[in-house]
Amino acid sequence: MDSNGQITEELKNKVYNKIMDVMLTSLENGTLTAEESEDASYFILEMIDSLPSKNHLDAFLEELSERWECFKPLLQPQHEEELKASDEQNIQNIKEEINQLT
Amino acid sequence: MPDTATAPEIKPTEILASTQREVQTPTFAGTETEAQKKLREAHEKAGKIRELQSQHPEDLKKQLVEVTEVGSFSEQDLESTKSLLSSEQAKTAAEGITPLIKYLEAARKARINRSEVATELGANADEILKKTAELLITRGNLLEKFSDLKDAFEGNDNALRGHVEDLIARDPRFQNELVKELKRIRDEAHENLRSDPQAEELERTKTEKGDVEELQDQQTEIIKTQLEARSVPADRIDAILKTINTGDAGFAISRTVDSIIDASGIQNVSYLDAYRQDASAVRTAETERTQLEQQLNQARRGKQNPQTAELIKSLDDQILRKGSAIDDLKQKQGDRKNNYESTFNVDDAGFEAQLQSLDEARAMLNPENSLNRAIQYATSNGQRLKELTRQVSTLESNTELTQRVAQRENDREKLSSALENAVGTAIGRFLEKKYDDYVSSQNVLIRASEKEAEKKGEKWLAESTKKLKEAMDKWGKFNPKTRKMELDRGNIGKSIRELAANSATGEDGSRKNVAKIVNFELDPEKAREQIAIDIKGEGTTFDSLTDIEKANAEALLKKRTADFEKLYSEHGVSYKERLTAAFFEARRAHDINFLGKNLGELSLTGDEWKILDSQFGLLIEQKLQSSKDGQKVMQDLRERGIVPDKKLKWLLWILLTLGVGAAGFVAAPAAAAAIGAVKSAGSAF
Repeated sequence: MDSNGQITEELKNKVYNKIMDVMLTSLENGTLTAEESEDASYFILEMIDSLPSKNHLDAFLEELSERWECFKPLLQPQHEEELKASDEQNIQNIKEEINQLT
Repeated sequence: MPDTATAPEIKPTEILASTQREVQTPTFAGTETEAQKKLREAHEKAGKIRELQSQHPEDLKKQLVEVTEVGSFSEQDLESTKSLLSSEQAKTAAEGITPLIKYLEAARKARINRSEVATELGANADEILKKTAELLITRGNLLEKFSDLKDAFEGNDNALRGHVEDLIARDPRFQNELVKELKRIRDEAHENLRSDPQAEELERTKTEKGDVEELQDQQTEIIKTQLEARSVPADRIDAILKTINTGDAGFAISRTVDSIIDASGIQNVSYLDAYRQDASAVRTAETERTQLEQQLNQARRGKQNPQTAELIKSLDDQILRKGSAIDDLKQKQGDRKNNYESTFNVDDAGFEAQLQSLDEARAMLNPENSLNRAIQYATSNGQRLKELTRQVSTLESNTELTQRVAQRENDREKLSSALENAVGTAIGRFLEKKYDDYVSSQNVLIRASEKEAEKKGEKWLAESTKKLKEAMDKWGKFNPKTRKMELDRGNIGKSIRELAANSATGEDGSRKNVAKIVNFELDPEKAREQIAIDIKGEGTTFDSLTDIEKANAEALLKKRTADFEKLYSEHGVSYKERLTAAFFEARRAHDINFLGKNLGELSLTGDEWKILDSQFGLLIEQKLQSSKDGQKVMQDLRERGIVPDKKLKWLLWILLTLGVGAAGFVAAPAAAAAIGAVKSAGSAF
């Protein structure tokens, strides 16, 4: 996302990636049927390239997860995930430092 | 927080690794349940995509396209399905489906080649395009199979009908729905009509019995017609047919001859037979006399001696006696004829006619005679029929087996009917799914507006946007449990009638509808009063406010009016469009006549239709103008001098609104080229 709320190609690819991962995992664990995945794919493909802003992207993900519940984890805000990753990295760094001290 | 209890955990960093792990499709012992089947299919699909992902890790869109691909339904698939049907059912099914399967195959070929498509087209471009065009033309009338839409095209709008068919036919999603429907029918048929040797034996025997019965009916009809032509009375014919059914051909033939003789009006057959015997005796005697005369001549030419003389004398005597006997026989024969003629009052010609009729009747005793052959054949069929009836009866004494066979017959009927209705069913599901996606896309837009207003702290605008969405959700909401969009006909009917009522004075009815939903007064005076209430509560009037409060109220009113205008400019058309889309979908989904009457909560009076047409005329024109497909269709119709009636314009409008016909993401260059060729060819029919 750039400063104007536009969706960058990088973000779009990231969303595609996540959607694919959720879809494939859901297909494999049986929470999404092959037919549901087809229907979801049509909707995703028809929508995702025409989303003009981050608000639209969020709204799209909300709609997606309302229709197919397996996509609900995608509603987790992006920054929360980044913070979590950052926290995990910090903890790891501290652990390494402690290890070096001992 | 979203409920993640059943949802898979996302690990973006593991995406690539996860794409490369080995996927094992689950297998199940015994008969697969529906749930197991779904899981296996889902697993197989995931496996295929992961394989693709490992080959093209960067091309994510391709992978999503792959998820939408449901494969094909080949002519071999149709053959295997037809083999489960009766020959007549199979013929009907093949007539309707074969051209469609060929068309689907060509469309699929053009669609799935993607990157290889240029090479493919380079080598076989002419063939692919020609085939696709030919098949599209020969695919038959899609809408013939869909009674709801068929009714809408009665009249002289075949040109528009062709365009609508084309829009539907070339939509990859429709093609997929049709393939899925055909596969579903095939799988269900193979499941229900799986091998059952005992049932098949009964079916075969019953079929043979039916065939023999049919043959027997034909043969009986032939015999009956021939006997009627010979004036044999009905009761005698019945008796002959009964004899045939007993299986005794000889007796049946003899009864037939007797009946024909009786019917011919021949009197005293025994007398005529005696006359024939007399004639025969005369002929025999004359032959014997001739032989004696030859012997006499020989004796006279030979060496004469006493023995010869004695022989000659003996032969002379014998010849004389024979001549006398012949005279007696002829006299007897003549007397018999005279007696007959005088007894039955006939002349010589009449007597000869009686003899001839008798000869003709008896000619059928010859095994090569056509009636004789027909009786022999019918007798043999009758025996086979008895045997088959016995076999069927024995097999049918098993009640459980009889029930199984009846069920299989019922399943065959259902299969045949499903094949005939496959196109209509696929169009129905396709429109339903297009409608679901259309509503979702509208939801995305309105949700985004609400978020934007929230982020900007525009409380009234955010709340009003939410209210508008909730009002539109009342027309129909997706139920994640049933996986279906559940339409509320009552609310749709109520809103559309409100729209018609609000449009009666020529104003923009949807603006009034939306204002009412968000509790905004369009009348400036009333709006002031409403603002006063919003500021100081119920019972407050604008005049009762202080000057400062009045100034604040005016400022607030100005802001609220601007907010309402923003809301309406962004979602007013969408409101109108979505309401009418819901209206049409609700009618399409539940009613036999797509644009007909007797629709209960969704019925409109003639005046309401007129008002809506005046409201939507411009909107429809705009939609037709803004859509490439719409423009092409309208241009083509104009060139042909055709002015589509309102109902059909509405239908075209709804298809364009739902995005039907848009080649979309699957439009590979080859598909686009093929569609172009097909469209050019298509405009000729």
